[in-house]
Amino acid sequence: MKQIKYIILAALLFSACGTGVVEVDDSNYEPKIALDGYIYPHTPVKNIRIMRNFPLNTSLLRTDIFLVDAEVVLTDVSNQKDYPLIFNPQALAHEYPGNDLLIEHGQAYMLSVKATIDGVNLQCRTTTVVPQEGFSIVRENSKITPSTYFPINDDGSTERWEFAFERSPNTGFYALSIVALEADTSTYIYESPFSRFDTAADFEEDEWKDLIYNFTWQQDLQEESGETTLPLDWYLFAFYGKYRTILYAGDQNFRDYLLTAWQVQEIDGNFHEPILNIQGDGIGVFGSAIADTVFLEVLRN
Amino acid sequence: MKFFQKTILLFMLIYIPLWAGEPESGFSSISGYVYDQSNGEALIGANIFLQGMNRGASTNVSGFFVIPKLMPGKYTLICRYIGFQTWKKEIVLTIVAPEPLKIDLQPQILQAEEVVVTAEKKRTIDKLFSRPVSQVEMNARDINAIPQIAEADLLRALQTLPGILPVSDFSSALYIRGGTPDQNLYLIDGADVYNPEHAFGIFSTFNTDAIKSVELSKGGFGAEYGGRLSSVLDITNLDGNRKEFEGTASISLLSAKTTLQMPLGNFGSISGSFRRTYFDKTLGRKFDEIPDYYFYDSNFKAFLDFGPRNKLTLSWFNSYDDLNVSFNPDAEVDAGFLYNWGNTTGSLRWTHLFSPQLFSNFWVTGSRFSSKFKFENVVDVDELNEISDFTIKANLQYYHSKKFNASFGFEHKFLDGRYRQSWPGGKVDAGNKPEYLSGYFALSWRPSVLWEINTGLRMHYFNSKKDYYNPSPRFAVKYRASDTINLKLAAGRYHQYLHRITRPFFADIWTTSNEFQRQSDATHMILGFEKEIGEFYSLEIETYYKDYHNLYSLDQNLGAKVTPTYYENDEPVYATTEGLFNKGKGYSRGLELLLRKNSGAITGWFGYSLAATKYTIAEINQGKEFAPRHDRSSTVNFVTNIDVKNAWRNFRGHNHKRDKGRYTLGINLVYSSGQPITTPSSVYITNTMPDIIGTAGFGGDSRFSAFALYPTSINKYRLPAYSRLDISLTYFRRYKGWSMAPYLQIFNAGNRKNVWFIQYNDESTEDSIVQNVDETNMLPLLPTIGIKFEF
Repeated sequence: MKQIKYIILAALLFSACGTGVVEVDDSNYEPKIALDGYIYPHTPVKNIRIMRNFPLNTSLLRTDIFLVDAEVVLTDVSNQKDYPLIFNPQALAHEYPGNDLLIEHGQAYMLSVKATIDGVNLQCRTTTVVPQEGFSIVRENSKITPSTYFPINDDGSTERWEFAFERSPNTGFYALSIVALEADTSTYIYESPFSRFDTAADFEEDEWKDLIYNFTWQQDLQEESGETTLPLDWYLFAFYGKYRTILYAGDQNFRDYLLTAWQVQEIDGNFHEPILNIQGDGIGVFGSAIADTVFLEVLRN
Repeated sequence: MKFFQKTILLFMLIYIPLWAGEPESGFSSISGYVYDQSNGEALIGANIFLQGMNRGASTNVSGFFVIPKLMPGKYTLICRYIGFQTWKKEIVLTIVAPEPLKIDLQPQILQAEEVVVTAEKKRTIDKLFSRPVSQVEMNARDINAIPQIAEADLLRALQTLPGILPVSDFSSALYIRGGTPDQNLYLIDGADVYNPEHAFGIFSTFNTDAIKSVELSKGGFGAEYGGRLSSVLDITNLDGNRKEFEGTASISLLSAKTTLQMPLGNFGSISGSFRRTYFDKTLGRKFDEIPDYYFYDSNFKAFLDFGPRNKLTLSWFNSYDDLNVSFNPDAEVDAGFLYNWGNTTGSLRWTHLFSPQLFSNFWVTGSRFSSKFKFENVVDVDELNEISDFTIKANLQYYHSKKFNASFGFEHKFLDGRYRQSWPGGKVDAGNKPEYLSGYFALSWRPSVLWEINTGLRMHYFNSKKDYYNPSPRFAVKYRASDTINLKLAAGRYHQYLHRITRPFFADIWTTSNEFQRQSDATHMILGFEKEIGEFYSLEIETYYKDYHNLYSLDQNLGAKVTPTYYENDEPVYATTEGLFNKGKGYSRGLELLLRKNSGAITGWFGYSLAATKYTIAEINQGKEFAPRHDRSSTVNFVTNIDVKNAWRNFRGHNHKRDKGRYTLGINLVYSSGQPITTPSSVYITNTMPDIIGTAGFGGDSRFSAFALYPTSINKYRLPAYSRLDISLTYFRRYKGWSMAPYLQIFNAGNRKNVWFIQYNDESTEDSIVQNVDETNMLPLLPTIGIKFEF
């Protein structure tokens, strides 16, 4: 009996060395239909990707991901008319082949999907309300001329690009994507105050490619029409050269997905559920937006 | 108010008949204060009793005691306290109660002499009986004996006790019996402390050299405390040496600190402590990679003794952290961020003896926490986060008789919380000034030497755009089942009007109950068993059940859920807490075991806790029950402190000696079953924005470059078990008039890789994708050295 306490102590001491081993299995896995697509007013319905999710730590062929045989229907909620979408093997996405479907501002459209994954019949549906007409970038009120990187004014303030834009009624969410069109290690801004790299050799493989794409957004803006200014901070730009920026007036699905689906992992490593606005066995996003594009250029000093 | 009146009436109907049963006239009492003769510091928990009679008392936090309702006559009064010589005096008591006594106990300074353990000290079982259920006491010596990261830390020392857990190596925050850190009331000399954290929570703000005593109630606490759901940590700092100048100075790899004490004429003392990290002045100047960061904390206390009936204590505490990060120090333009935060508290306590039987403390306290954040040349974002309070409170203790003691008091708190954050396109500007008022009455009834029954009622009123009235009944019973066994039971209802927005890295934001969030409620039920085993050991077993209602948890999707309160210059302004929290309920239950050895060459404890905490929140886990991240089913703690030379003497059958130089080995071993964590059940391909292009993605197609993780069941997976061994070795050497103690501490001596969380890396090849699991581990082996001087 006396030995027991020594045995317990020895076991505890032994456990204080070594490594905690994580063995994550796929017992929590549930097949889901993964949606990824947006519709735009007065634009053909295309690039609606209907895919499946897959368990962690699995090797999967690309051709296995797309639900080629899924039954995909877009319904115009205003008149309950259905428009079946078909799979385009070149685009790896579903689209509407006809020309009798015109996406209108302010209208609601429902996407319904039925598919079979791993022998399980699944279905989901989600509705998007297209933003109302009115959104556009007001170029004459915007600061969008080519600029050197991070110019400092005589008073010490930082000069920035700014987009002035006209809001759509009843739309409070606006997202801006920024894509460097001439990015490589030779155009990278090493002298940037945000740079972690001093020379091209500091990049691990294609690490610089992670910096090509950036985005920012404004939310909960006034729902009445009016003009708003969106400043573009310099941390969004990592390369010299041309940029393509697209400002979107987004619907509720676009908004909730961007604000939550990309932040499902907390700083302490734990996960939580995002807001997806999809009924049934679906995940991902099916949203709508109005888009306006502007090109910018960062000049070398 | 009718509800209040009814409750008070009911309470009086119960108490008055009990109270009236005691005869009044013809009695007197003995009261007084007990001090350490060497420095004049009041001794807490000293045992005073009348020889040959079953009458006695223990000193309170002011060192005060009273033995009430004694017949006039001749008595022999004895006072005992561990580490001090026994005090004895003949007293002739008349019908007129004498002035309070001043008892100076002489420390047992026996150098290089054999220490004979006698029966002079108070028995362990008596000490356990006098303590409320679930209460833990620690002093600076206990805290300093436990090996930690870099240097002793109060909150980390408490984490070695059963039922008190950290959430990770990076946090000193206390998760007590399933409760979260915001459910703990931190008091320093009577003033609330809101965010007691340095270095993003790695260290606590309490300088252990300034601490005189610590009382932690893990649950079931009495009516004198309120406003939190789980526990109370009541810290009393040193009053100061009233006899001579005294000081300590120490330096570790983390910080340098000093504590100085001195008399203030014949009527008081002052003490002050200061601690500051110094790596910003040393390594930080040499290496650009080390952020410009430091913290400091300071304490000041003045004690003024205006005779046995009036004493005044002035206490001040301040902590401050400052971080200045530059993203690229070599760049022409300095871009980065500034972040600072800190606490300031102050308290003025008037201790007044209305009569030998009516002892009172009156406080005026203030507390303020603030943090400021600002980006420099990045984006126009800055933040101000503040909470402050001004409090008036009183606690009166009436020692009626051998059978009855009563305490009563009130607390009136004026809170002021504000949070401001601005960014391009909007801002948060929230603030309110709620008021909290509470009053309490508690009665202790000892029908015989075997029984003690404590009942109490605390009434709360809270106003923050909405009125809340809540009664909190408390009840506790202690029973001496045998000469070596105590049984205890406690139950109570608790309310909390403060809610916390937790933010890793950034300081928590406090909000209050208002028109959107109610108060949180909890009920505690505790059953305890205590046994004295032989002369040196004690065994404590407690089981508890705690339920929670209106539990508020920060909505992790709040960015998408909050709605503007109004618009300013066409930009949204968020000014309320609407949409910030998810509301739910939950429970914690558990069993704790503590086997403790408090004296001898080897001291320490073995603790085990078996626990479960579950929450049910409609918006999380599809409304199904889940375990929160801090839940751990089993935890084992083994803490020991070995006086090496005396342990060797003990082994050889020789008597103990008090050496001029001694080696002390400290061991802290903890084993805990794994924490729950949510694992993503699957991965899917999606794009951040409709037009994303980036790295060549799946199958070389840049349109498929982003993978998103999708979690399902919340906290269903358990991380591997946690285990850690900490070791310290201290050499203490006493010289004439001063001493020194160099030490070596090794945190995680086994260098175990305890998993903190899991990350996933997508590896996509020409036509396939694999997710690799990357484990992010907690702290590795960390050796540190330091030295402490006392003079």
